[in-house]
Amino acid sequence: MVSIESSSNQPEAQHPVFNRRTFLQAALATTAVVGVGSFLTACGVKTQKVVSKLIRVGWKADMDTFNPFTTVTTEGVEIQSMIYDKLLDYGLDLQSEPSLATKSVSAGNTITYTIRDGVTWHDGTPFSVKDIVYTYETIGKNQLGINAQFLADYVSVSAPDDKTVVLTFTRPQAFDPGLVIPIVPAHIWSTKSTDEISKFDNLAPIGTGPFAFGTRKQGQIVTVTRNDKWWGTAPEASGISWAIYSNDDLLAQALKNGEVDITPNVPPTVFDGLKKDSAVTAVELDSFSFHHIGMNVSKVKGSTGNPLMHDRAIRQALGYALDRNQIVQIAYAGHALPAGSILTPNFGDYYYEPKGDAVIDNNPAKANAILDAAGYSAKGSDGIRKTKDGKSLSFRVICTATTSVDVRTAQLFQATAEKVGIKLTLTTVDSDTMASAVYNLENPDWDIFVWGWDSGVNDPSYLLGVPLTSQIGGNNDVFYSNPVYDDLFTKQSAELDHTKRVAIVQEMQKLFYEDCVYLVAVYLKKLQAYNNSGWTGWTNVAGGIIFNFTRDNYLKVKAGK
Amino acid sequence: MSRKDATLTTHGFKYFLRKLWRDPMGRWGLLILLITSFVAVICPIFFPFDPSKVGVDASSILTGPSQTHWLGSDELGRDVLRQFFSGARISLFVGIMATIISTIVGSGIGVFAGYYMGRLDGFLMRITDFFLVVPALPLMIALGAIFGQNITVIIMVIGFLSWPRTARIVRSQTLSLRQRQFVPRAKSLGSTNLRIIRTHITPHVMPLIVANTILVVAGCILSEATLSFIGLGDPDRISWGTMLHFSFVSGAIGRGAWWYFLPPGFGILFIVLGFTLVGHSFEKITNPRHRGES
Repeated sequence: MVSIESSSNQPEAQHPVFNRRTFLQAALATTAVVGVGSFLTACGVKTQKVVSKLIRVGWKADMDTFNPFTTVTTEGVEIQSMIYDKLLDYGLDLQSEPSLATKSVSAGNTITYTIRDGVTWHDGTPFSVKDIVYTYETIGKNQLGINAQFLADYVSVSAPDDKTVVLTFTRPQAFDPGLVIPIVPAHIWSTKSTDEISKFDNLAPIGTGPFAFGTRKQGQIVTVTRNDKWWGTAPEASGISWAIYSNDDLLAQALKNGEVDITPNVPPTVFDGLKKDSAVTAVELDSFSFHHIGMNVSKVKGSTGNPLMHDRAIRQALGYALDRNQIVQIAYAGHALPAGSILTPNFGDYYYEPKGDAVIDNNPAKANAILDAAGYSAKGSDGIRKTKDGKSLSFRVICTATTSVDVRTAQLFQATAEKVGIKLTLTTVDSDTMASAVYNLENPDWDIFVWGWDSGVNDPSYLLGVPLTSQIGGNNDVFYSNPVYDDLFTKQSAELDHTKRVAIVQEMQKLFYEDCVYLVAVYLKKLQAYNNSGWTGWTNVAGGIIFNFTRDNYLKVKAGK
Repeated sequence: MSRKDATLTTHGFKYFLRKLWRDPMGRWGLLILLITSFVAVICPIFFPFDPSKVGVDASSILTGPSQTHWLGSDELGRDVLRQFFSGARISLFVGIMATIISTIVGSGIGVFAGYYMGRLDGFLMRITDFFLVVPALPLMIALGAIFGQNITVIIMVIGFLSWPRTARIVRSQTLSLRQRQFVPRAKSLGSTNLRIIRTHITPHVMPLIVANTILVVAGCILSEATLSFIGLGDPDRISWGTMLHFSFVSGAIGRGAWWYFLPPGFGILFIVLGFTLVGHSFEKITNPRHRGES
C-alpha cells in the first residue's frame, strides 16, 4: 500500500495553477492507449484506507422488497436475514442451530419449539410467542407468500405457555420450517389483511435480528446497524452495507482498493485476474445454485407469450440444442459445472443425474428428429422451421443486461438453436424490469428468459418447491403447473425415511427434467472474493462465504488491522 | 427547369470534389471516409463475421492477437477483427439511414416553413424549437427502452430526433431565396407554389442540405454508439457501440484486453472525424462568406 506521503511527490502537486496546456497534456495522458487500465489502478493506489467497522459488501443487483412474505431475490433474503430472526438457523457447517427457539423437537405430526427468553424487537416492544403464532398462522392458514410451500400440510399453531410453540401438520415433516420462516412482529403486521400483507412495502422493517435497518437508496445501497440488544454474541461489525456496482471492472477495482470488503459474485472473466492479486483472496466454492433457461408456459388468458412454448416437443428440442459444456467453457470461463436437474450435486444422494439416453443436451440430430416428428419440418428461406399454418418457430429471449454470464448464455443458446431451425431474438433489460416482466401474473409478455436460483435452505425442498402450482404468484417463474409433480412434492415432504424420500425426490427431478420447462444450464461455482486488509476470519462454506443460507460469517468475522 | 438543376449534375459534384480535395481538411476527411467505407463495405465480404462461431473452451476467450485471430478474441471466443469489420457496416448503416430520415424531415419542414412563411412557418418552427430544446439523448434512451432493442427502432429514434438543426438552417436559406426576383416572376408565369419549391428553391438549398447532412451523419453515428454502449443496441446486430458495450460488461477493460475495446473506439473516432472534416470543408466551399478564406 502506498502511504499518503508519497502522493505529495507526484508532479501535479507542484503545479497549483492548471493552464490549458497542462490540462490538455493530463487529459491526453489519461486517455492514452494504455490509459484506461492503469488509470483505474492509479486511482486505486491513491485512495486512503479508512478503517471502518462496517462490513462493506459490493454486489451486482438490487434487492426487491423488505417484505419477508414476498421477497424473491437472494439479495432481499440476505439483507432480511440480518434484520429478522428465524426459529432456527444454519451454522457455518450448514447444520441446524438454535435461534429464537433454543430447542426443536419433532414427534409424529407435531414440532415443538422451546422459545428463548428476553428477546425484544428493534422498536423496543418485547417479543413473545404471540409473534411466532401470528407469523405461522398467517402463512399456514392463507398459504401466503414464498414460504407457504414449507407449511403446505399446516393444521395449526399454538402456544401452550409463553415458552413453547407447537406446530401441527397433517403428516410428519421431513424438513423443519423453523429454518426458513422469518418471524415478523404481530404488533405491526396483525392489523393488515392478507391482501395488504402481499402488497406491503415494509419500508422500515422491524425485526429481532442482530442488525437493525438503517437506510436504503433504491438501486444504490442498503445499510443496517448493529442491534446492541440482540440475544446472541454481539458481532464485531457495527453495521453492514450492501452497495450495487453495475460494472464488473468497477466492483473488482473497489475490492482491490479496499472500498469493498467482500463480494459474493465475482464474474468468471474477472476471477482469474483477482486470484493473482495479493490484496485479495478469491475463492471458488461449490454451491446450491444454478442458472437456467425458463420457458413461459402460463395458461393465463392475458399471457402474450408464444403459445408454441406449450408444446413439449419444441421445449425438448431446445433442450437437445443447448450445449451446456460450451456454456460452461465460454460463458463461465470454465468456472461452473454443466447442469441438468433442478438440484445441484451438492445435495448429495438427492441429486438426480440423467445418464445415457436420458440426457437432454447437445444433440442437434435428436432435436431435428423431434421437430420433424412433431410436424415442424417445413422451413422458411432463412432456414427457420414453420408450423403447419406457417408460423415461424421464433421466440424472444430476455435476460438482465448487467448479468453478463446470462447474456453470454443467451447468445450461445441463440447460435445452437438456430442450427436446429429455431430462431431466438435476444433482448437485454435491467434487473427491475426483468423481475417484473417475468413475474407478471396477469400478462406475462415473454417467451424465454435466462437467470438462476439459489437454494434458501440445505434441503431439496426449496428448489423442488419452485415449480409448484401453489408457487404461481410466489417463486414459480415459468408458471409450470403439473398435478403429478405437486403430488410427489407433498409425498416427499412427509417422507421421514431417507431412502424412500430420495426415491421420490429423484422421480420428481426426472419428471421435471424431461418436461424441459427449465433448461438448467449450469451449476454455479460461487466465485467470491474479499479484501485481506478489511476483515479476517471469513470461513469458506459450500454455497458461499456470504450470499448463502447461513448468515454466520457476517456475525463472526473480526476486524483486521 | 434544366438550367436550375445544373447545381447537382455530375459536373457540379466533380467541382465540389475538386474543391474538397484542395482543402487540406476536406482531403483528410475524404481519405478517412474512403478507408472506413472500404472497411465497412469490402472487408466484410472477404472476412464475414459469424456470431455463432464461438470459441471451443475457456482458454479461447478474450485472448490477445494471434495468428488465428489477428485482433484477438472477444468474451465468447469470436474473432474481433471480423466483428470490427461487420460492426463498421452496422454503425455506418444506422448512421446513414437515420440521417436520411432526419434530412427528409428536416429539409421538408425547413423548405415549407421558409417558403410559405406566416402561420405555417410559426407552427412548424415552434415544433422545431420544441425538438431543438428537448434533451435528445435522454429521450432516445427512454424511447429505445420502450420500443425495444431493434435496429429499425434505433434508426427511427435517432432519425426523428436529429432533424431540427437541419430544418432551421434550410428555413433561413429558403426565406432569403423567397425574396429573390425569380419567385414572383415564376408565379406570374403561372407556376404553382409546389413547382416553384421543386424547381427553383430546392436546387438552391441543396448544397446546404448536403453539407449539413454530412455533419448530421457524424452525430447520428455517435448517437448510435452511445445508445448501444449503454446497452440499448440491437444485441443481434453488433455495431462498434455494441462492441464497446460488450467489452465493458465482460470486464475486458479490467483485464487489459485492449484489442477488444480500442478498435471500435478508434473506429468511431475516425468515422466521426471523417464526416466532420468533410462536412465543414463542404460548408466552407458552399457558403460564399467563407470563400477566399480557404
